[in-house]
Amino acid sequence: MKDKIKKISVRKVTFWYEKKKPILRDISFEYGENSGILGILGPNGAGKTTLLRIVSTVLKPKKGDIFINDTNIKGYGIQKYRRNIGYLPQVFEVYPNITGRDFLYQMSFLKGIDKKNASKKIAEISEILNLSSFLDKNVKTYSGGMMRRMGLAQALLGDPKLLILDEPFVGLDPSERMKLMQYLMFCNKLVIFSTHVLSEIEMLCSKVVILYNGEILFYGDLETLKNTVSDSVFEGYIDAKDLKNVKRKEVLYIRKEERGKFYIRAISPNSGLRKRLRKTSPSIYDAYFKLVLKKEDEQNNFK
Amino acid sequence: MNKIILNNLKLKIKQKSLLLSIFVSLYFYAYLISPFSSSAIFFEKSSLEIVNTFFKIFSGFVIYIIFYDLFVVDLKSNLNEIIKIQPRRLISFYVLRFITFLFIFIFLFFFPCILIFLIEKLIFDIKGFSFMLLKEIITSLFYAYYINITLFSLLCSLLPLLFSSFIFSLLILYPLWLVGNSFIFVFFIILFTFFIFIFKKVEFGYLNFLKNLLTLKGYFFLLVVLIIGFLILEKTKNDESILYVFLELLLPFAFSIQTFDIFGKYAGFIEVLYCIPFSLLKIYIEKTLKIFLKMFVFLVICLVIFYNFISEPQKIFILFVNTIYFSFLLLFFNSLRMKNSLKLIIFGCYIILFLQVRTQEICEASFLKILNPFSFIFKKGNIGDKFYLLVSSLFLWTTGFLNLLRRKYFELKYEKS
Repeated sequence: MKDKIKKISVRKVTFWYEKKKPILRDISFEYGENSGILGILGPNGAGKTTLLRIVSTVLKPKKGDIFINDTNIKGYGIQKYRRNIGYLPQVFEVYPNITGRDFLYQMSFLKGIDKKNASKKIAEISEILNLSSFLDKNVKTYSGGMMRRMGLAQALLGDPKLLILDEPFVGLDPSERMKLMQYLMFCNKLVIFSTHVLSEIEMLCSKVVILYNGEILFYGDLETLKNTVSDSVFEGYIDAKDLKNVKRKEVLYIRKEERGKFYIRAISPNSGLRKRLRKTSPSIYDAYFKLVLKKEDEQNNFK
Repeated sequence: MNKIILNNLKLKIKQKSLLLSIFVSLYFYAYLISPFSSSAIFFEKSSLEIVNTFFKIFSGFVIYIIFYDLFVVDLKSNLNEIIKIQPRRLISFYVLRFITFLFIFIFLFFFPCILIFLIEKLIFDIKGFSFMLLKEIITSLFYAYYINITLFSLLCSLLPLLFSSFIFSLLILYPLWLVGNSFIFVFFIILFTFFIFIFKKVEFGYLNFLKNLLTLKGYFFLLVVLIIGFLILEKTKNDESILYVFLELLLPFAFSIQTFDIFGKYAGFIEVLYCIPFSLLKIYIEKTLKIFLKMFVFLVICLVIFYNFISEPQKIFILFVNTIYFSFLLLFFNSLRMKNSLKLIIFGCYIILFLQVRTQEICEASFLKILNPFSFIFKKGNIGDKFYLLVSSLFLWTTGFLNLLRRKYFELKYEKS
C-alpha cells in the first residue's frame, strides 16, 4: 500500500490572480489518517474554494507546495494523486439530456471502473445518497439538492482515498444531510470539506482550519479551538433596563424570554455585565465568533 | 472556352474543398468531439439526441458553409460562366466538387482534431482559462479566412458573449459597419471591444478574463489576435450582397454560441474532469469512435440534399433562393428548441414540399404562397414558440424578399453584361 494517501501537507501556499491582491497567503496545515475529518471554515470570500481547488490540483499554487506522505506532490505523481481523490466542486452541473445512471456510468468509465463493478458501485452509492428512485430520470428534471447528490455520487465513485468536498451539504434536506454525515463519519477515508455552517463542523470534524480573508485564523482540533475562549464566555438573564449597558460586540446572541427578561450569551463582557452573568463552557460558535470579530476589529482599526 | 472555365473551376474546387474540410473538421471537433463541447455526444445515448445534434450542426454551420461555397461565391464571381456551361457539365462540376469535398473532409477530419486536442490539453494544463478562448479564436480565424469574413465577423463572434445578446451586438455593429467600413472605424471597433472586455470583466467559468488579461501573457495573446485580425481585414473585399452580410453575422454567432456555452454552466464539471487522470483523452477517443459512425449518417443527409438540389441545375436562381430559405429555416428550428419529433416532421414536410424545384417554380419562389409548414407550430406550440415564430417569420419573410430583390439585381447585371 505504498501509494495510499496517508497524509497531506499544505506548506506555505500562496495564490493570487493579481499579485497585489492575493487570495491565499502562506497557508500551512497538515492532515492525515487518525485525524478524523478536516473542516475548512470561514466567511464568504475567505478563500475556502480556492484552497480546495489547490488541494484537488485544479489550481497550482503560486508559492508553496503540497506534500503527500511527506513527498512533494510532483514527486508523488499528480496523476497518481488524482486517481486517489474524489472531488466535488462548489458548483456542479452536468449535461441535461442524460439520465443520472448514464452519467454515473460515464464517470465510472472515466475513472477506469469496469462495467460490472460500476453497476454495483452505482447501486451502493445511490443507496447512501438516496438517489435510487430518480436515477433513471433525465438530469434536467433534477432539483438543486438532487444535482448536489449527483455531484457527491461522482466524487465517491472509484473508491477514492481522499474526498475533497466543497460545501457538500448545500441544498440537502436534514435527513439527507444526516445520512451523508453518517457516511462520511464511517467511510474510513480522508475527508476535507468546506462550509460556513458551524454545526456541520461541530458534528463531523475533529480538526478545523478557519480561514479569514486568505489567511489562517486557526488550525487545530475543536477542543483547542474552544479553549481559545475558555474563560471568557458568560451567559445568564438580564432585565430590559440593563440592555443599554451591553456592548454589541460582546454579545454572541440574545433572546427575549418571558416576563421582560433577556437571555444573553456574551464573550469577554465588561465588568458590569459580567456581574450579572455566570461563566459557562465555550462552544465552537463562541470561539469562531471571537476569532472573526477580533480580526474584523483589527481590520477596522487599521483602516 | 468552356473547357478552360471548367478547369479553372476545378482548381478552385480543390482549393476551396481543402479549406472547407478544415473548417468543417474544426466545427465538428468543437461541437462533437471536444471533451468540453456542449452537445457532448459522449453523454447522450438516444438516437433522437444524435439526430438533434446533426440538426444543430446543419443549422449552425455546415449548411451555410456548403451552400455558400456551392452557390454564393460562384454567383458572385462566375455567374456568367456558370450559366454558359451546359447543364450536363454543370452537374459533373458539382458532383466532382462535392465528392472531392467529401474525400478531403474524411481524410483531413482526424488530423486537425488531434492537433487541436493536443493544443487544448497543453493549454488547459498550463492555464485553464485561455484554452477555450484560444479555440474559439483559432476557429473564428480559420473561418474568417475561408469565406473572407472580416474582422468585424470576428468581433461579432465575441461580442455576443459580452452582452449575452446577439441582437444587441447586431443592432450596434451592423449600422456601424455599414456607415464606417473603413480602417479607422474598424480600429475603433477593436479598441471598443478591447475596453469592453476589460470593463465588463468577462469571466470564463470561474476564471476571470480580466485577471488573466492583466498578465503579460494575456496582453501578448490579445495583441497577436488583433494583428492577425487586422491582416485578415486587409485582405477582405467589400461586401456586395445582403446575404453575405447576413452570413457574416449569423455564422460566427452560431459558431460561437454553440462552442462557448459550456464554460459558464459546466465549469464545475470541467473541474471534476480535470481531476480525473486522462479523462480528456478517454472522452476524446470515445467520442471519436462514436462520431465516426454518425458521420456516415451525416454524409448521407448531405448527399440527399445535394442531389435534390442538382435535379434541375439550370434553375440556379431558384435553388439559390431555396438555399437561403433552407438555411434560415434550420436556424429558426434550432432557435425554437422544438422537440426532435416535431422538428423531424416539419423538416420532412419542408423537404418534400418546399425544397422541390417544381414547387418553387409553381410558387415563383415566394415564401407566402406555399403551404406553410409553420402552421403546425401554431397548433402545437406554446406562447413562447408562437412569439418566436412570429418574429422569425418576419425575419424569414424579409430575408426572402431581399433575396428576391437580389435575384433581380443579378438578372439585370447578367442582362447588361
